Amino acid sequence: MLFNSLIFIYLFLPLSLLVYYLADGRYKNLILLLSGFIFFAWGGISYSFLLIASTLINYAAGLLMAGTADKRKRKIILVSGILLNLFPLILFKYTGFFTDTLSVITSVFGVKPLTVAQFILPLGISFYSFKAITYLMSVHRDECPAEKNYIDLALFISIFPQVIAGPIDRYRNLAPQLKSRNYSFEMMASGIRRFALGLGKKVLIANTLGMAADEIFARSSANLSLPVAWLGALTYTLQIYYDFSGYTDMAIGLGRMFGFTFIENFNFPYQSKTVKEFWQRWHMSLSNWLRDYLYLPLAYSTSRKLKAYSYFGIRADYIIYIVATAVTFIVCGFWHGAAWTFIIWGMLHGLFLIIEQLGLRKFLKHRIALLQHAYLLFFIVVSWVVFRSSSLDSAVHYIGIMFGLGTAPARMDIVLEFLNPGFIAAFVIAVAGSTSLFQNLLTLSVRSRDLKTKAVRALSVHFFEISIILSILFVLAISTLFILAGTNNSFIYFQF
Amino acid sequence: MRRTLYIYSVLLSVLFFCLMTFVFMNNIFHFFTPKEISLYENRYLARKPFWNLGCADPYPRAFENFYNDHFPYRINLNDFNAGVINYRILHKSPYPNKVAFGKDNWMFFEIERPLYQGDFMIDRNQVIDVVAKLHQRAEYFRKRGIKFYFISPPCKQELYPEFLPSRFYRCPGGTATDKIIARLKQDTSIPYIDIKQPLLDAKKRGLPVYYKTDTHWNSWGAYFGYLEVMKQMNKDFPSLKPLAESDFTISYPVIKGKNLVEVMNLTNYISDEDVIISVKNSKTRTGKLHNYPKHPGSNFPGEYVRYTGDTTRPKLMVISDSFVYGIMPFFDEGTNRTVYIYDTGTYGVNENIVDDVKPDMVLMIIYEPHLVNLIGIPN
Repeated sequence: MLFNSLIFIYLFLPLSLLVYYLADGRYKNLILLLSGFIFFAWGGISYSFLLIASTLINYAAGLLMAGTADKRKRKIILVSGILLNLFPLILFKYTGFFTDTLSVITSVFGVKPLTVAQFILPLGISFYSFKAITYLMSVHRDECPAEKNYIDLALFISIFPQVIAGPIDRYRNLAPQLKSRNYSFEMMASGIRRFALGLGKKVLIANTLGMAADEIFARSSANLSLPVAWLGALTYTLQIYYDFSGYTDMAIGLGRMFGFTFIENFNFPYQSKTVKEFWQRWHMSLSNWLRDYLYLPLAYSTSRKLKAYSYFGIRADYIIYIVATAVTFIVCGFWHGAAWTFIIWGMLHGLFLIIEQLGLRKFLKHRIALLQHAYLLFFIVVSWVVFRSSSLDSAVHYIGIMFGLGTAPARMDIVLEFLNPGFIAAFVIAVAGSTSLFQNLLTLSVRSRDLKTKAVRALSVHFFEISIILSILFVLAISTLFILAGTNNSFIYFQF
Repeated sequence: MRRTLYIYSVLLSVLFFCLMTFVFMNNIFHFFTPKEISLYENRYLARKPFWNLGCADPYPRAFENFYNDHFPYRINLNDFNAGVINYRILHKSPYPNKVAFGKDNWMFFEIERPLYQGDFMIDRNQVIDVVAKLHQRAEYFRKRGIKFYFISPPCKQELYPEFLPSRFYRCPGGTATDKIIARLKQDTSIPYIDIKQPLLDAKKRGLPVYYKTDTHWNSWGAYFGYLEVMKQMNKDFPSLKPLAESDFTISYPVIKGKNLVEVMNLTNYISDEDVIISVKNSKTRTGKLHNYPKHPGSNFPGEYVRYTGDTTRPKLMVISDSFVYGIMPFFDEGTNRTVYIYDTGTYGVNENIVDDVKPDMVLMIIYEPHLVNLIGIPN
């Protein structure tokens, strides 16, 4: 089930909220857990057994770890637990990629290509597997006690707002909230506001931009010209941000409706000046996860092996940084998808992080802010092309066209055809909204209340709150209309 | 101020819940019940699926389809979105995956786009298979001493490329249709009549041959297609004389937008120009139907029978898709009896009907994008 579907907004959500708030406090977690299973099962009932198995395995692993003080045993349980979490992820997500790659290699030696059953990727497996690992790590590091209540742990792993696309929350953040939560109308209203914001970002902006991006990226390189290629790349850059951050906003909003406070996942990433800063603002729950559970342990273990000050004239701390960053970003790319485009995308980010560390960041620091932003945006736009392309070959061609290596004539009429009023509105709002402009205006408007007389202040509060409510209802109504349009399934010829 | 903010939080929560509940309550009380059939979508609405534990995986998708189809006021809301928001305000196609808005109010069927652009391609063996299927049909009629003719009306993208949206393109190397037609022309046993050039010639004369808002040809297009067929038929049956332009009265009424507008339910917003060609002193009458079974899955009449009663003229059987409707009035006049069989998708020889009708000649009309249907590829 998707948040931006009619069945979720108008059936699942009201029903879940109703039952949740009518139920006694003791049963709220159970109700939310069952809601999570139903929500997840909507993407494939058979796969929900996978989620249930994951909750049972992690519950048992946590208790086993807590039951022994033997460090070696605890480590064995931790590693086994992590492997058991990663096994279905590798099986369902990466089997096809590995066998395809192996087939390419073995075909050189005349070996027949391998054929394996094609699996359908269970929804959210990359997210809930990583979340489950945070629990095991927290217990292993004694950050939190092992959860004795199965319902609470299962809820942590499968809580429906987070189960499909994160944020990849930490157990230590959610553990106290699993025990007790505060409910208030302010919290509910704040959740509704955030949910509506996310819905609008996804349905009205990302989907509108996505139609143009999809069409442009589907064009063969022979029919793609420089301006159209740039339009596609810029549009996709905005689409992916609004799509993902919109989904996260909806998740955070839904969490608040049920009394939870989830971690934030985005903080205006396109305002960054360096790739390093970008990863401090983009998909923060993933980058923090990778930092804590991959990068730092890797850097630590590498540093223990490197005893000398430098190797081949390179300082050991640089080598540690290079090794840890390279591995982390290859894994990061691979986590996003089982294809070489994702791996290369991850490697590009890793490479630029290393280059920045080796001196580029220092160089940029002394340049004007505009240049720093331009550098980051240029890199991000190009790297998204690799991410979005169907193959490395098409990514190379696409980027080549962006830099004038295409053969198609640069016809502006094709560009203008994409620029219908709806697209222009979505694009302009998307550009403005990817900066902190709207947030600053909002803060300014709230602060300016203090400068006014009591009567004017009261009036401005009423005006502001009514505007917000009307905007939310408007966004919900228009988003519903746009989602409904997707249910149109008309045929030229009769189908009855 | 805290109290004011609290009141607005309550208000927002209540309004949000009311909005969701309004729709939700409909699931319980059914105060809005849509019809079984969506007329403008030309389909049945999805039905509530049965729960079967042994085959549970398809249930959520099927239930969601049912839920979406029965969403209260879905059609009205979609009409508002299509007509007011998309067409009037945003000036764009409400369903860009179905209909592309071209230049000068021309519309094109988006589903045909990959074929036109050359993105949809079939391999050499598939091309051979398509032609072989037509060859089988030609052989079938030849063995029975029935004259067989075959035409394939081109899609309007081929005739009016200047009105296509700029973003449409052609891949180098031609289209699947080009390959089929080229191969078809090599097989001399298939009496293929190329009608593309006559249609282009008529267009050059300034005559509209296709509708702006429909995938089909209009009466002028059908007439010039008919003329080209008659040239061949006349060689085999000299008694057949084609109708001249002077045999008609012609009018150009403004009508509601046609099939491409209908699929968007925008007939109240978009009009088109029709071409009405009426044969002066028509002698044609509707004949008694044989009640041949309808084509499976189709609601169209499987059969039309027209006759003039002039026994000196040959009997014609036409096996066709929807392109038959424009061309019918012209053939009606020239033959003794004409039986039209609507057989889109299959385009079979319809052996039982042939044995019953005993035609002197058979004309098969297959819309170009439907040629691949012959080897089971849906268009």
